[in-house]
Amino acid sequence: MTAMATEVFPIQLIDDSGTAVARAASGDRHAFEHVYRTHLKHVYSLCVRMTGDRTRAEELTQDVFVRAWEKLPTFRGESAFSTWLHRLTVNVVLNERRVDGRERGRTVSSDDDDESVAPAGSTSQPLHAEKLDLERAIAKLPRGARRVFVLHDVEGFTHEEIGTLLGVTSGGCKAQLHRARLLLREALKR
Amino acid sequence: MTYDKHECDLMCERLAAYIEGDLPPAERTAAERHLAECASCAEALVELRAIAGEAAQLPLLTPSRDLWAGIESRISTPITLLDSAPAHVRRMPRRQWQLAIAASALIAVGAGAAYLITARSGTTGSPPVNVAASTTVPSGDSQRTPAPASVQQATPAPVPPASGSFASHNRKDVNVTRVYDREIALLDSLVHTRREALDPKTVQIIEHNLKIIDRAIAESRAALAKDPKSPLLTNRLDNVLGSKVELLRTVAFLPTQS
Repeated sequence: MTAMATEVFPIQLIDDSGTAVARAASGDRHAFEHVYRTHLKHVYSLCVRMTGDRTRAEELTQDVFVRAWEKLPTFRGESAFSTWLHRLTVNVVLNERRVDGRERGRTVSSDDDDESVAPAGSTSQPLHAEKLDLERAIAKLPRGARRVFVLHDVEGFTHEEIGTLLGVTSGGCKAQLHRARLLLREALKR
Repeated sequence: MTYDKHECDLMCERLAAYIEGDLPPAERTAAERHLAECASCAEALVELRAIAGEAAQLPLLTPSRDLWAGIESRISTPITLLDSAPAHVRRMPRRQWQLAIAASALIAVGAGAAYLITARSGTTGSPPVNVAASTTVPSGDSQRTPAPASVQQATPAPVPPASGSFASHNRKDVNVTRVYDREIALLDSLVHTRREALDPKTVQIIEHNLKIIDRAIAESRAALAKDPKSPLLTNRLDNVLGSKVELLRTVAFLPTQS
């Protein structure tokens, strides 16, 4: 009976990611769990680096997948699913409400660059050793600079795309990126 | 050649445009000359490029806990498949009227199944139950991400929860099994009509998985025949029958092969 219990779930049916997405879009939660497990680390990593806060990132990651579940029926396959989910993640992070006490009192403008947040590496889970310093330095960047840096240098968005997402000009985006890199260079030299 | 601090500060400001390739030719030539002659600014350029390069290769991070339970509790809804997949149903180019008839029949059968299963679990006459929270959500996550009100007010799903809800065993078990059998027969018929519209590779995988489930059903029934009063075996049979219903229902709404 034990062996049987592990067999009944039709895992092979969702081996292919595209099939899993199609099934999830039609309401199959089992397939959606497969989608979640496939993309979890990408979504979570983006949330961590955009917010600089691992705890908040876990909440946002859940929000992203709930939102993805709701919007999946509208996914037409015009772009890769990972691209679609990536953009959804960015939008969820950018639109996050400041309901958490740590976020209260802050401005929401992407140009608010005088505060930093708790370092991502300050939580109990250790980060990859070689990248720890950079991760921590990114988390300490002012929010506007951090978002531009993460979107451009980590995630590969273009300045034009970032400008559209953040509501800033391409030139402003480049200035933020340069500032972020200079601040990181300074932080890593300490 | 040495440059004073002011000149190096200006160079530093221009490094962004230099890296992006945005400098006009004349300024670019001047910048290259400066970088060739100033070790400090050249070092800054190397380090800035290194930061960008390293950022692009940062490893993926893993959350400290599994987030699925919290997500599942928020997306769980009882029998919403017929309503939640209108886009795909609308996109199906063929046999729409057949699907509509079958869907109506499914709703009727599903309602009957819900009644019988609820009765078997001893909740008949009780207020609507929180299906998601009571069956799938660990207490820790339910506090963090409670199920939405719409879920909490929903009626129970016809497919039984994973375990523990059907400890009682009575004559209605037979009826429940019959309802499952009827629903499976109906879905089987529906899936059969859709067979040609689906990707042959998908059909092959579906059939493979159905064989596995059928074998599990046969084993459960054989075990239950030897010990008909076993709540564990009854629950087991419910689960595998439910798995088959879920799979068939999913197949019924798979997108048509393009």
